[in-house]
Amino acid sequence: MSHDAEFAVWRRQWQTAPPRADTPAWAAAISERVARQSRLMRIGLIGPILVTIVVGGLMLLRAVSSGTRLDLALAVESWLFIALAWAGCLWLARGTWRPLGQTTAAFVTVSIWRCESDIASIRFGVGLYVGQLALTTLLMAMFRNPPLDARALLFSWHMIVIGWIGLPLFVSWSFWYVRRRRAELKRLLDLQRQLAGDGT
Amino acid sequence: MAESSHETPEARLNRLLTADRPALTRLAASYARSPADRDDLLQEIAMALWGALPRFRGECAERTFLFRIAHNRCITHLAKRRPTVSLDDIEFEPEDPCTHSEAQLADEQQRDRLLRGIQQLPLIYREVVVLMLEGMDYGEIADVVGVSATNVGVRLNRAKQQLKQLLEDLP
Repeated sequence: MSHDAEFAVWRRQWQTAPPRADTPAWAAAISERVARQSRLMRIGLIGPILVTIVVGGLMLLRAVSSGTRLDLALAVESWLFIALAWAGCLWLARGTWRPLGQTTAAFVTVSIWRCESDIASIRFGVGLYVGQLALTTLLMAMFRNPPLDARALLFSWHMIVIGWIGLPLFVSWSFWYVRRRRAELKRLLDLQRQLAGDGT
Repeated sequence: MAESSHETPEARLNRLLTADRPALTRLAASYARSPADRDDLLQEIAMALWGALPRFRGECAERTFLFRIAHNRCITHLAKRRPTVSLDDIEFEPEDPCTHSEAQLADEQQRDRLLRGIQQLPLIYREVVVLMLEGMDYGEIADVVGVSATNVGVRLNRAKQQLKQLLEDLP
């Protein structure tokens, strides 16, 4: 192939010089960005574990120290949802940790799976959020002492923060994120078709 | 390989990026639509390389590994950006004509045309052409792209015809 005159000419033109903006700023920014990204990746790994320990631990501590039926029920419910969240996330992320091979096709495939997994995870997350909100409200209605009427319950601090404010925010963010990931998935599928498209 | 066994990951990354920076810049340019887009892509490549280097066990040449990572990152970069690109969007900053001789200007224009031609190639052809222009042989390209060497040859032949046509049509 090195004898191919046209490719030889193109290669000479191509390699004469890199495009102009080969800036030192890029090189300088890389090490900083690598360090920042590594920190974020560590936080990303530690984050869910920290949430599990802090939220689960606090609920447990509260249940043990107060001994009320409501706190006990909320602690059980929290751990149930934590377990569900972990199981769901691990299940949905199966097969997406790394590509099956080192090829571009395998890389694109795993990117597609990651997109699909992210979309499914968000749906699962919204379901979990709504489920936990409903169950928490139900437990409060059943076990709170003194009992709260429906109106007081609907406007309790927990309902305002997690329900009236948190739920619309989380659902809106989910819609935006799923839409973005869907667009990316569409483009990845298109790339996959293009990469497989020569029939050779 | 022996060199890489006792250097820190940071030093290894720096060495690889420094040695092949011009090639990586050209590779990124062929998948980017502007200098800023290309610089973003270069940073993504560096990040991906940083993540992948610990897994490199010397199964192939280090350069092949580098290009495989870079190439895969370029492909997914295409998926992340908005799909509609008109040719007018593909714009690299013009050189200042005062600083160049006529011969340099002509070289510059030819290189720009070649880049624009490559950017317009279908993906399956673009990927093999860019690697070919970086001096890789069929086997190395096959390793990076994940197809057989024969397939690389077929793709390069078709790519050459298309690229010739594109370069003729470009202003």
